[in-house]
Amino acid sequence: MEVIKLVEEAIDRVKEGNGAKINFIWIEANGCAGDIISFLNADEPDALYFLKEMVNLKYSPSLMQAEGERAYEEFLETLNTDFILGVEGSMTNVENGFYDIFAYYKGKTVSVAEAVAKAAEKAKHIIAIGTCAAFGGISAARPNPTGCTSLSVFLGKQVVNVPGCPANPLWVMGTVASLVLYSKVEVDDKGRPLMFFKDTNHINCERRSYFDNKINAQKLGDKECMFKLGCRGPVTKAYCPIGRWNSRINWPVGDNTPCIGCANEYFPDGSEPFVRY
Amino acid sequence: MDRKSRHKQMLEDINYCNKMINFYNCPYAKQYWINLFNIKMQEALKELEAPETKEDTAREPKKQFTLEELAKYDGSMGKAAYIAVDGIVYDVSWNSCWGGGTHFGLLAGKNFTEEFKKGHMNDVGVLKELPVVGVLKQ
Repeated sequence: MEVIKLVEEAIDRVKEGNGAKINFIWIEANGCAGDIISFLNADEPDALYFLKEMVNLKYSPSLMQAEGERAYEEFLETLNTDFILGVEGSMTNVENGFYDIFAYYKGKTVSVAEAVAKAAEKAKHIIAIGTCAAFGGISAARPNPTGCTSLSVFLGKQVVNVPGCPANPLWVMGTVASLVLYSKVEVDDKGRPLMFFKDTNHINCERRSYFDNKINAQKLGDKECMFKLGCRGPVTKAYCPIGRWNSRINWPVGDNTPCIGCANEYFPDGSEPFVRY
Repeated sequence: MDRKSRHKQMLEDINYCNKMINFYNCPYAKQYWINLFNIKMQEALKELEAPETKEDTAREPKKQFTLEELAKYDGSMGKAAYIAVDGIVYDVSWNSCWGGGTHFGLLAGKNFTEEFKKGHMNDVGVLKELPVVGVLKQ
């Protein structure tokens, strides 16, 4: 009976048509913009489906047509509507947010910290995309000269965290889909969606029987378990062995390199060294 | 007597009670041995649940490690990975958090008492899960 209800709900939403799509603001904070680039690699559904059917992408520094002050005005206009806020890159507020500028508008400098704070107040849902936004990541690595923090710490409240360096497009797409369809997504105690971050990479690793029988790879390129070479699979919760990367083709261990734990809370300081001989 | 011989004795007692139950025809004697059998079984079950007492483990000789010997077990080139905290040497070779014998940039084979206190302030219980291989020679 549940399935019939879901199908009826889905049909209703389809009938409602494109007019009911929610807006989406994608802010690139102190990071490498890797998550939006990774997102363009989304496959089934792909980024075009996202833009046409799932949301109205109103603001994205990498993808939008508008530039300069006009782009900032589009951002301000969207704030007065229903929107989902997605932030990639970590937050810095040191020296009035000097190290991360969002816009120059009418002679004033607007820092990313200011813009995110404004948007977060009005957003219907907030997603931290990538490890930098979710947990600090590379931007906040020792010695952290720009004083970067995660989005949750900056806002003082728990947001939906989709870590990964970069975040796998499948995970971001699935999370947005859940928010668009059901206005919620089941998360664990660190805000990560359970549908992707329930099990560690170790649980579904194809080399698991080598680990269980303590048969080790002697060097990179061997087919056995790479735990003794520094694999962080056992401590990393993610979806890599199942959903994999690049249109579900492969993941690091499948390609003969150990997992570096890029979706971990303490990446990269807690994952180093990545390889140990 | 230590754990192993204690268990052996218990098993012998239970088997003897069993033999006596079958040996006697007299119902009163039979009942006596049945009661004794039940008592011995209860003790054995309790023993199974009881954890190893300190005296048992204290009797086994503890391997002593100097800092130089400990440094050999640093987890490199497939070797075992040992660390020392508070004078006890633990084997972390197959602990999930110590892939490649490393943990948060630390390499195994050293005394990490200070680093452990700093990194695990609220969670000293993690050490209980680790297998112990010896003590650090002071």
